[in-house]
Amino acid sequence: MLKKKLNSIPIKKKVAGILALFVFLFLGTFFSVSAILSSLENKLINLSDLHTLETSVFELNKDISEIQRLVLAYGRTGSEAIYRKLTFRHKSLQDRLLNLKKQDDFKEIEADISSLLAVTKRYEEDIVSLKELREKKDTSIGIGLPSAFEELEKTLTSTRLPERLKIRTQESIYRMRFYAKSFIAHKNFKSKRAFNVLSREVLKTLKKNGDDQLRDALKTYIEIFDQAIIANRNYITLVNVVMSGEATEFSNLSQKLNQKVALLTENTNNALQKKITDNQNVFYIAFLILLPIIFITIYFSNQTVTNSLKDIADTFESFLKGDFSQEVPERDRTDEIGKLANAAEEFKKLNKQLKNESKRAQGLAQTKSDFLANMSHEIRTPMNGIMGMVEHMLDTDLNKEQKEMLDIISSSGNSLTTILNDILDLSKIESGKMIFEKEPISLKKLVEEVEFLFQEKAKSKGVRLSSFIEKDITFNFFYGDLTRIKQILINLLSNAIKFTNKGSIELHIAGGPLKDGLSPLTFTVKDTGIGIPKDKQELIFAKFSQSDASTTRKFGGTGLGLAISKKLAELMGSQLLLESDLGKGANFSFTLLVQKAEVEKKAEDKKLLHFGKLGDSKNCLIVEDNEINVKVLTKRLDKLGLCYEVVNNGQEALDKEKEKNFDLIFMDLQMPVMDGLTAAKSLRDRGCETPIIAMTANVQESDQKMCKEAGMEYFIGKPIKRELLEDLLEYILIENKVS
Amino acid sequence: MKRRDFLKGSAAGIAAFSTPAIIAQKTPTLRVMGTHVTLQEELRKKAMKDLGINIQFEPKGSAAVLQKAASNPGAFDLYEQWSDSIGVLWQAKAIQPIDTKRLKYWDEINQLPKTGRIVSGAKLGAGDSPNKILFVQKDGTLGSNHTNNISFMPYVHNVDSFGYNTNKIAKGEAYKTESWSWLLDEKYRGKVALVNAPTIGIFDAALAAQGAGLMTFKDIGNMTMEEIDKLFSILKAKKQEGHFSGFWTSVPQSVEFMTRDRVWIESMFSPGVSASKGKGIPVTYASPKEGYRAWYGVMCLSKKTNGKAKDIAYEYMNWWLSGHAGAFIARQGYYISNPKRSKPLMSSEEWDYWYEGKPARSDLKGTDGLVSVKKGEVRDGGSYIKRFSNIAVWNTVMDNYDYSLEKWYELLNA
Repeated sequence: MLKKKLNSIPIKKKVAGILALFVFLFLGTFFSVSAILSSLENKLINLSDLHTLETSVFELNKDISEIQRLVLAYGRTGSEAIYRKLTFRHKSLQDRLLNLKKQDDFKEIEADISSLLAVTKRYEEDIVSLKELREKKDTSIGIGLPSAFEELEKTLTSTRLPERLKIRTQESIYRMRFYAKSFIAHKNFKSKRAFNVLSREVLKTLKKNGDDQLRDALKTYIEIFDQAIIANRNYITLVNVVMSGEATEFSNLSQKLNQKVALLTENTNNALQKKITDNQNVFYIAFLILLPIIFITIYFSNQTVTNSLKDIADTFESFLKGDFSQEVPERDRTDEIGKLANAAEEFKKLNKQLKNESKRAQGLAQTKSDFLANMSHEIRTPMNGIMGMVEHMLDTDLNKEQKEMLDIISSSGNSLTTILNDILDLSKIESGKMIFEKEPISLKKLVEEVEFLFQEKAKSKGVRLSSFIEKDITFNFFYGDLTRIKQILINLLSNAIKFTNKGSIELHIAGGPLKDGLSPLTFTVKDTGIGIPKDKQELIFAKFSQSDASTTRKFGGTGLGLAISKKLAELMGSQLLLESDLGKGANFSFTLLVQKAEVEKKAEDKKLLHFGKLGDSKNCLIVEDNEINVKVLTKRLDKLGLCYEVVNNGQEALDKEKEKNFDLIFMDLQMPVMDGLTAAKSLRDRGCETPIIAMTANVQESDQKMCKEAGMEYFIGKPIKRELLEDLLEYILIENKVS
Repeated sequence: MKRRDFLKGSAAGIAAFSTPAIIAQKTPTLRVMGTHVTLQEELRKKAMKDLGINIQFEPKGSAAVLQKAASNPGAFDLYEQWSDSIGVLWQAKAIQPIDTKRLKYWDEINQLPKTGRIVSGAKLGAGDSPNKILFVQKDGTLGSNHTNNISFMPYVHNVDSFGYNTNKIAKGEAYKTESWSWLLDEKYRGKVALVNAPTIGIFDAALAAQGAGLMTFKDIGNMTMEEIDKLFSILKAKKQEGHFSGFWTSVPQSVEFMTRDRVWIESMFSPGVSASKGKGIPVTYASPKEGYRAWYGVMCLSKKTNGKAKDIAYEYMNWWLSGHAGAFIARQGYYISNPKRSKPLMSSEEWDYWYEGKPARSDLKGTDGLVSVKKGEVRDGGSYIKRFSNIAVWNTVMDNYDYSLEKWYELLNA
């Protein structure tokens, strides 16, 4: 049910949904983790700040102790330097506190810092008072009091009091001075009381004796003593009670602060620990949420997407292999996979159709091919007869008129053969059945041969034909398909002669630097003929086309030559290029990249072949049912001086060979009773090693291949060309096989 | 229309009518130096409003304010503290006599500051009872013979003892089990504080030592040097044992000590007790069987204050006795020297609780606006008369005050 529902949701939506879910989870995790991390960072900073704070707070205690020590030291010495140090120290303490207060990270201790600051603020005033009061005290005790006493003494000396009284008063004031000093030093009120009692007594006495001057001096002394006491008291209160109280309070507060900071540090530590745990928990939770989602996603995508896709892909694969028996799965789905499955179904249908069409087309092509092969065979066989007979007739005594007629027949026959070959070649090329040989070719021989072929014709037209091989070509033999290269050159030269009425034609072969181990050979056929206008140049490479419709009428030809040459050049990895203009002759060229071939040097100059005495000892068997063909061949062999026997079918050949050993067998392919292929195979099967030359009008490569498979190592097309036959016989009987 | 309101109206509304003279005239400023006990913002605002003057308060710890006033009379116009300041200030010639004829309510002031007794026959505490230092004698000394010149204007007063947190220390019985000796009880080691003022703290400590049977005094109001030595050797030993958690210098600090659980028991002033209770700490202000340490608030005129400043100083002194301030400070447990003028400004519940020692008939708020007395509570120690009939000693500057200062220093740094 669920699966069905899932299958109805488009994959696009599913993927988008899953992605959105992942993005959501990822963002959720990201934000919560980054929030935790940033608060973690804050806590860490906080912790480090707290450590700094702890140090600062610890320093506070040291500062206040030092300050108290300085207050005491100043009290003892009154040293200006110590006082400066005291104010400096206090200032630095205050600055430290102000700095702490400025750090607004620690709200918890703000109140404590404020309390400490309030204490130091009060203390600051106390420090100012300290100096003031100490000076007052020192002045009053150290200067005021002694000078008041001096004044008192002086007044006493100059007094007109009776001597006894004077001495008694003097004694009293000395005692007063003693009590005063004692009280200031020891603060024992007994001394003060004694001073008071004594002073009252003396004042009374002096009043009685009317010595106002001395009395005033004494009063001043008493007053200055009282002032000294107050000054001393003020100073002592300041130091002993006020400043000491503040310092004690400061210590208490800073100790409390210390504890608080320690607690803060601990709390922060704990909070940090908690944050780390939280962080871990977020990861765990995210992990716990993500994991099943991933699994579920994988499971469902497997179920609903991957597996289905694989099934469809497998189905496609078997379709591609040609197996259309399988049913396309998932066609009931409505999502993309459903669409794909339906597309596969369409593909299946189309492919079935296509296969049928293709079969039909292949059948048609085959039919065409067969037709061409048959045509070729059917036309070649009579042509072989005609041409053979014409050649023989030309060797007989003829009158001039007869000879002229025979020449025309021969020429027409050759044209017909050429047309036939061209059509066959083109059909081969187009059907991709053209196979290129890789055999050693003699460049020199190739050039000589093609030049030789056209020399006579050129001469007859009054055109100079020459060939030239560049000296930089250091080799002679190379691998290639001689027939096809020759075919191109013949085509080009034939055209050149056809369209050149005066001047010259040159076959030029140029070399070039080695390229990937291959040597370039550029074949150029240059003529001084009528040339081809630029706008027609493309046209001449097309099938059945010449530069001008009138050309056909004027020069003849099928118009296939250049098309075939162009295709052949291309199939050999080259391009047939044309440089020409109207009235300026034409340059046709193509470049082959060839591999050098190491071949034993052969006698390249070929004499007219005649086996002579050797011929008598060489006995050939001709297996051919067609009388004309037999005649054509026997005439040739007669000329070459070879012996032969003739049988009409394969079976007869087998029988004959049983009776007698032959040096060579000519085997036709299509014969009644037993065809050539069967006969050859039987011969080989029974151990016959005699060289067999297959003779057939079926010149297609497929036919040659069949012949080879049947054990016929040589092949000659019909109509049999004299040169070809001679070459073959020379090769088999003289150079190679038969000793 | 009050003068102040008139000024306001004219300044804001009728610009053309306002005379340049009024604008140009600089509002005079009165500088008052004292402690947090009486230097309270509400009072300052009210006084400024009522008197149309500027008032500057400079509150300090009691020792600090005394020291500053004694050494620098130019720094204040009026000095507010306790009667133990008088000896120091008068000797230091930092203050000038106040003319009773300029005190509007002089005659309304009850007999306590004038005779030392709240009622005839009440016990006269040791030390300087206010009457002994109130009147300026012909020879310039201070004495109890009535004259028209006084060293201070008597205004707020109270009896002090120690406060204790009944969450920590079982509540005792007033005048029977509650004893000064608790301050030295080993049970409360580390949870005890004294006030850092030798003229006050020394008596708390002396009463405690005497109450604990550690020593006796011939005259606790005027100790000998030997007695002082002995007392301080006891205290120093205690301190070294870690008995004292601190020595507070101001009332807010004493409240902090109590509310932050720094102490369970400490010398306290009445506002400190009210504030602590307002903050939820059940503090009982003890009524020690040995009697209270009493004090009388003094308002002194600086020797250096003259002319206009002196006039507004008298205005301020008269304002204080005009009723409102007395009613206000009653809510922190203080009495005023002329209670009858404040009575109409207090609710009858307040009057009955604070002055009469009757159970509160409703929740009562302190000066800070927080409930400091719950319905049904009875004031520690009872009525005004009962409490002032049980005075052990008055805050005093003893003869050996100078000597005690040195000892005090030793104690603080022990």
